[in-house]
Amino acid sequence: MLSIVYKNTNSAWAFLALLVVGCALHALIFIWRIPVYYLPDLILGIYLIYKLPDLNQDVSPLFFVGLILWLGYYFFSPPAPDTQYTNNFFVVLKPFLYLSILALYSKNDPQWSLRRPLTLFLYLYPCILLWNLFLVRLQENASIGQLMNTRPFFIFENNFEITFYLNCFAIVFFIYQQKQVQYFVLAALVIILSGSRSGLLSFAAMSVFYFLAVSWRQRIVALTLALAVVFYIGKGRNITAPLNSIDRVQSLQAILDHYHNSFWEILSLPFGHGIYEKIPGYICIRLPDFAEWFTGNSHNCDPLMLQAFYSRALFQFGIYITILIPLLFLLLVKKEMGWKLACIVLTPMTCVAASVGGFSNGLAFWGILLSLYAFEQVRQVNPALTATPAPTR
Amino acid sequence: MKIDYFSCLAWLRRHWKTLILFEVVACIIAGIYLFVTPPIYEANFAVSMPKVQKKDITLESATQWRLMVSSLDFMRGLQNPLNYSEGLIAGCMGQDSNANRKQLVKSLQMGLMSNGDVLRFTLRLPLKEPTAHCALLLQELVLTQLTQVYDETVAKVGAQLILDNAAPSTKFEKPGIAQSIRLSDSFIYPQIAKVFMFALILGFCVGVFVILARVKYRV
Repeated sequence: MLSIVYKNTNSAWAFLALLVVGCALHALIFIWRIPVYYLPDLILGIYLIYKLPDLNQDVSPLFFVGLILWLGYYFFSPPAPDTQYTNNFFVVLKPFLYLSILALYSKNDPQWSLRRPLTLFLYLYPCILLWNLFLVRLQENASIGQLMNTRPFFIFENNFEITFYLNCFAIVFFIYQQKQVQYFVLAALVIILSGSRSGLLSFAAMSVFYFLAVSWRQRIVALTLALAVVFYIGKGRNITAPLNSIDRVQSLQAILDHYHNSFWEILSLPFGHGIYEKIPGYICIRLPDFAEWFTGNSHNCDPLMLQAFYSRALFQFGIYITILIPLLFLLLVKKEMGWKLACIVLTPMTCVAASVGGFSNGLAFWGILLSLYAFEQVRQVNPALTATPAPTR
Repeated sequence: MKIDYFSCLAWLRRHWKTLILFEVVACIIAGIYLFVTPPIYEANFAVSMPKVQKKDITLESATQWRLMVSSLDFMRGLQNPLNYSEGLIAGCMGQDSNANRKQLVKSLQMGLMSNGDVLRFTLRLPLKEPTAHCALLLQELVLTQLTQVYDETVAKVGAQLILDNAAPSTKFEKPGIAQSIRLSDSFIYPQIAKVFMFALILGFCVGVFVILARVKYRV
């Protein structure tokens, strides 16, 4: 393992040091349950402040679109009834903020090369997942069967982390053009270890891009691996169960019922119900335990309990803005990287938005931002690289 | 559009006085707005729908509760400005006019609670006392209309039972108050902090626009 890492990163010691730090950090979070949900946003904030003096770039007019949407929803959403709990509306506003950041900081990459840390992360993350399983085994004396049903993580629920991991994979494979099959194997291993269904969805979508970019021999390996992953997750997480039994599908159905399953009724609410509006009580009751899980109170029906970004956005932003958000992300990333890479880079975030967080998740946004920075750094080294790169085959 | 940190900083240093002036003006306008705008209070109440227990056609022995009128249909009826009596409009809005009728409907938010058998009403009007009074009038109207539906259904189902010579085992549930009128602790609108924040942002934007326009057209 070390020799492979050394061969690809020239830094086996750095790998070992980072592994120890990563495992220690994870052990801290695992044992003391430190709240880290806003950690990526905190790091993002620190980075933005740190890099503010380096701000010097052409800014897309979409910066103002993001800003206007952010301010518009914050100031003009109708307030929720006084007898209801306040929503966690800052999370809801995050996509607009991310859009503005993406437009304003797209070329403000760090001074040091991202190549080595991102490549190292591809090796590190599966090791940390294994470390998590080891800790679970120590703490709960879990058997192998129980461990296979565990959802290992580094700092969050792994659905969020996999989005970031797949972005790192995309950077190394499609931007740095390091086309070794081992990265795909590592990605497949991560999906197997994590047991994540939304991760599987993102991985399947990424596999298509991978499949189109490699030789026939690698395609066979990829296909076999992808099938193995589907089989393993399918068996472990019961993806063959009726779709209606999946909580994300249930919440989407509940929201569609709220509009009487009428497309015209959905269209008639151009800006949704706003960011302060609670989920109607009868929907809340239909999804038992969700409110308690999210807010600790079964009477606090925060729309965040509609986990899937699209369901929540449909209710709070309305259909037009829900569609606009991924489009704006695509336009901004496409401006820098071209259509093909933009589609690849945005695939994990778009897929995971059907299940959790998505466009309002800080770690997923970091994945996009790092992809832009990695591309920018590659372009600085090789100015011939334009927004429409040569075919990756 | 090119944005450069140091150019922006230099530009701000050059024009900070004008920007401050616009911010002060915006804050004064916000203050006037807050002074002039009547505070909006909120009243919440909920009413349970009348129900009838009917035999399930598929299972002979089983019965189930059904609403006598669809909650959504009833809500739609209340969204019609002509559904309200002159007395209610005068009591809520001061005088009966078409504009006031539409305004009342706009001030009233309705939603479903429980399993869709409870209607929640949120009324937002200027000043505390009129809001409480109007909520009371609305609650009476809703209860009257629902009681009417209840009486009609009971009479109809009762006649049907006599015709069918069936045992009067069918049960009914009257409409009632599920949650009594509750006023907001203080006014909910305008929100002072938000108005000033908005004024500061708007003042900044207008200030930037005016400075840029002045530079462009050399005023």
